Amino acid sequence: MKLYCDSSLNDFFKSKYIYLDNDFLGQLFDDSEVFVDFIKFTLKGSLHIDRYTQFEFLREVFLPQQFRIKKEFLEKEVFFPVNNLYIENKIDENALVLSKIYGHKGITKNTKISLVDLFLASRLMYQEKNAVLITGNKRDFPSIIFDVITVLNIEQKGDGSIRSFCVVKFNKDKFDICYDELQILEPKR
Amino acid sequence: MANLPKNPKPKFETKKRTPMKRKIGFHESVIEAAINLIKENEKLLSTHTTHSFK
Repeated sequence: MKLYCDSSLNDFFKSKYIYLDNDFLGQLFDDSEVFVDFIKFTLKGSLHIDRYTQFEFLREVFLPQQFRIKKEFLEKEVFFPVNNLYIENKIDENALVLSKIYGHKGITKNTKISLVDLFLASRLMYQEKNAVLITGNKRDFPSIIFDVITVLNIEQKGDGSIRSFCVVKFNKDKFDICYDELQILEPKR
Repeated sequence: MANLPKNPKPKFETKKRTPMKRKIGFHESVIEAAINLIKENEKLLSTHTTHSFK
């Protein structure tokens, strides 16, 4: 079907690390027209699939032929690898900080944010200068820390309904406020 | 109380990295290969009902 988005997106994505959440990756994999439209907009940036998103994309695929197709799809040079072991422990530590802030702010009061989304958020935090994420679950990237840059709309196969995906970016100013509030809880020495 | 671990310090990339550039002309071959996989998946799903997956 069709992808609807702001035509200035092409310039926005320039020199950006563009991470894809599993739901958006699934949309690309489901529809070659949407895939081609999207690639045209991201030629100036680089597409990345986080290791946990890769796992999510492949989990529960029990049909061997489909597993092979999906794995080969991930391995295509359309996507750049994310395999810098040096930063992984930093990502882990950031994830812990973010989880504390979410808890402190009551974000996780009613619904838990998944481990995968926590680590994705942490990666966006680490690469705060030039990383963005495209996700259909904005709720998992709360506005106390993340900004919505723009929204992509995708016409769905079958019923023709429109599904929206947000391009989100870590906001360091927002984070600093939350982190300072968290520090107040530290015991005095 | 005195031995409680402190919050980890937030970690940020110190140097702004520039994403790797794609090789010129990559999209003709690579994108086509990716599209072929998408179509292969569509074909696979169309030939299997949910029941036959079990």
